[in-house]
Amino acid sequence: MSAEFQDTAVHVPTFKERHASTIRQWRLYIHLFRGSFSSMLGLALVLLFLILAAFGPMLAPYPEDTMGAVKLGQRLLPPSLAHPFGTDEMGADILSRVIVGARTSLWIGLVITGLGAGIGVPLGIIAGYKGGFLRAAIMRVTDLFLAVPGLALALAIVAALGPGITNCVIALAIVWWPGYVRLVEAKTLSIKEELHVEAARALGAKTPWILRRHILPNCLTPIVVKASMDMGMAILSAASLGFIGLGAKPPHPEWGSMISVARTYMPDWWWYSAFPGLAIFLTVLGFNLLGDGLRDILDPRSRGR
Amino acid sequence: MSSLAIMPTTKTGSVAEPLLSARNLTKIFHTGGQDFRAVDNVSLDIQAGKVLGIVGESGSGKSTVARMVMRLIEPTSGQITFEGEDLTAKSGEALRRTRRHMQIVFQNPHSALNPRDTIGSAIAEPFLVQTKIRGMELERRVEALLDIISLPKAFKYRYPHELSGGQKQRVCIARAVALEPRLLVLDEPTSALDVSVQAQIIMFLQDLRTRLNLTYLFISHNLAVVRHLCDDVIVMSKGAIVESGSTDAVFKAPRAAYTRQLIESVPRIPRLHE
Amino acid sequence: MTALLNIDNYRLDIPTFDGVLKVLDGIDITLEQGDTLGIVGESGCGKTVLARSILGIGPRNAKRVSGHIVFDSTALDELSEADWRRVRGVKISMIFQDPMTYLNPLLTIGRQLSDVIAAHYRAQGKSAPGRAERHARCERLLEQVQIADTQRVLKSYPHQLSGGMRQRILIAMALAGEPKLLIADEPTTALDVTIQAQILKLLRDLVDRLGLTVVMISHDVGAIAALSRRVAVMYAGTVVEQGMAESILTRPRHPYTRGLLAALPDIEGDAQPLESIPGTIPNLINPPSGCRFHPRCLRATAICRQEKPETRSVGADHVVACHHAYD
Repeated sequence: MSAEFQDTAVHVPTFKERHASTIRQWRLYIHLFRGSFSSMLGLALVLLFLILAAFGPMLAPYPEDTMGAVKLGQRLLPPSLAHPFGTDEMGADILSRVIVGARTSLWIGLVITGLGAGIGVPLGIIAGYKGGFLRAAIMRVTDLFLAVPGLALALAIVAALGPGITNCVIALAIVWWPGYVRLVEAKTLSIKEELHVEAARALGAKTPWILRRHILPNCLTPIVVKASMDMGMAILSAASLGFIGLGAKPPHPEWGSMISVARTYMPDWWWYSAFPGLAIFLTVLGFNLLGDGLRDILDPRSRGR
Repeated sequence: MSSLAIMPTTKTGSVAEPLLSARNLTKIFHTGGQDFRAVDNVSLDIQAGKVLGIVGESGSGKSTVARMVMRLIEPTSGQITFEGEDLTAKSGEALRRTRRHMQIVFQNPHSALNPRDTIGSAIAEPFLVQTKIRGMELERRVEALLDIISLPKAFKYRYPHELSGGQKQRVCIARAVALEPRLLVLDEPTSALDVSVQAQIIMFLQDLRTRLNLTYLFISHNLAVVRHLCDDVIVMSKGAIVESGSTDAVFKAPRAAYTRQLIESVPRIPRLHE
Repeated sequence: MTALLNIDNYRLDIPTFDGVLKVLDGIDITLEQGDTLGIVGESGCGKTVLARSILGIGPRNAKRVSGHIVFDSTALDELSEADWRRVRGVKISMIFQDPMTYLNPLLTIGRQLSDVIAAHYRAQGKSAPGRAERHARCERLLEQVQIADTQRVLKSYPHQLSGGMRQRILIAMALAGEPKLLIADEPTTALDVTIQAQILKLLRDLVDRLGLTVVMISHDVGAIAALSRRVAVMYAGTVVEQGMAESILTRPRHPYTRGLLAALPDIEGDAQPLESIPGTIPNLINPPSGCRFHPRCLRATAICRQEKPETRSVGADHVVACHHAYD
């Protein structure tokens, strides 16, 4: 047979060998990621956030305070050893409420980002691949949504649906999906021109096959980067709505609504708004840095090698 | 602007029915208000078991002809007959089934493979798309194809970026022959490869043709490769056929001035004196 | 007479995630003024890295392990950025493969040429000439590269011009500073064969008329043969054969050169079966010991695995690095 090709061998591969390519790729990612201080900082902050979200009630020093205990004897105490973040106007420990608030924020972030991507990505892929009238229709509707400032639109929707954390999340998801459509449509347009898509068509593959196997997997990188940055922004937006009083209702421990109530106690009882604010700041920063780091390692062009 | 059809005869002198036949193929692209005639009234025949080459420079329309033959681009006008049936009239499921009999290998192996698919998945794709073969039988077929292209079975788990250009092109060829087509369209399959790899691929293609009883439509701008590989050749320029005939005839005694100019432009290498 | 360019035992390493790429392993190349040298090799042989290293625009994290590059008695290895600006474009110029990506799509040709001229003046500490003077120079440059319709071209944008025209303009830009040496990295690879013939002819004319010294890098043996009087064949970071083109192409001594030439289909079509070189290009992180070609060489023996071959002379201006060179 073809003697000029000399790379044949016979041997049953182990798990490690079968996934050698993936393992090597991950080792490279980890190596690159570790090299960047900001990425590692972002990762650390996000991990801290996730741990608090996962184990919140167990870590909170005063779990009973998290859902509205009333201890009027302890109102508005400044930060101390017993209450590192102080207490609020009901006497509840702010540290415990901030810790448990992480879980709420995580849920908010996941649902908004998940719904936004879940609606936006398929629409974007279809618009990009199909073109023509369908694309025009989808993109014009997207443009319509993008023309209205996000928070204002969310405000309007929540005002219509009524305040509450669920409605707040729904409203923000509705505001969020157009961003994904834009991103994915652009990426799909460029992937569509690649030869492997044409090769699949030459094989007789139908559109759903091509979308699932050729387009979507190659869109994942920008989606992952956007989603990780969106987590932070979604949490911030939910907190903003909460701040205006349209989000979670007390005594639900949501950071934004905590600051909303704390407003009236400024500046004398500064700790009441400072610590939930700090929590929001660190969480959003963490996700942003993580998102940046992910983009740097996943996008071969932005890497220096 | 005239169409020159090639109808090589069999040894007995009768005209055999060509495997693929195209008549008056034209393609006009409408871009931003201007019409661009990429292919102008091209006709050709390919006999079963033969290799027809199309040479031309960029903009000659040769790749567009290849894609029209594969119905990856729709002809503006003209007719294509494949295996005796009207290919241009087919659509939907009938067209899909016909695709099993004609496949294409592209120029750029680096983008012709899905970067997210393993080599094993890539080679399995034709079967997954066109047949109901799954499981153990599918594995067997994939391994058999890897064998044909002389790649070790371990490559099933590798990703395209880990392979060299020549290896990737071999994988593309494996995908193209997986369903045992009769016609293989090769669009500049070696242009993106190194010289020694090009030689490997050309020899491999020659070997494959006899083994699997294939017919080739070979598009290239490299006249030396076409001279070496093709039985008959068509020379295209600006969308139209300039000259056609058997490779020997066209290269030894080119009739058209453009063909002469093309052949003369190729740098000559002072050859080995054995 | 001292050589214009002397690359002496040049070794270059590039650290990567998977290990250190020993991309150049002792390159020895000499070039006289007025010479045309073709460096031919396939992917991974290091020819582009070498070309770029001459101008100091090689890979950013590359480390010179040993050896020197000396141009016109100046060592190019330790120049500062300010020094480089007096060399690049002015003493040594380079043109690249795809002219479209090397021209600014937003500026007219006239503007781009004019900017280059001004930059060269400033680099030498002189003030740039006035607009009229620059315009006249641009016209002269275009005429030098055999562009007839200079007015139209100067007012055009890159996308309005053909590939061949763009490559001529790149050559004109490269000649703006009146360099002694022109390095051409795959200048005709992206061009049609008829245009390629024109560009090669242009380069030959420039060599004859201006006394330009040209180094042409290519994997296209035909293009190399058309332009170069001398040839260096590279494989996996080493120069395996170097000398007069006529000599190397008609009587190659190194098994790799032989294999390479035998793999080329002949347009004259003498129906010689193609031969290919068995195996694949080696991994440069762990290159083969001794002679880097030995795993693929039909004449390899034990010594080829153990010792890197010395470069020996096998004729007037023809050297080979092989333990078992052909006669």
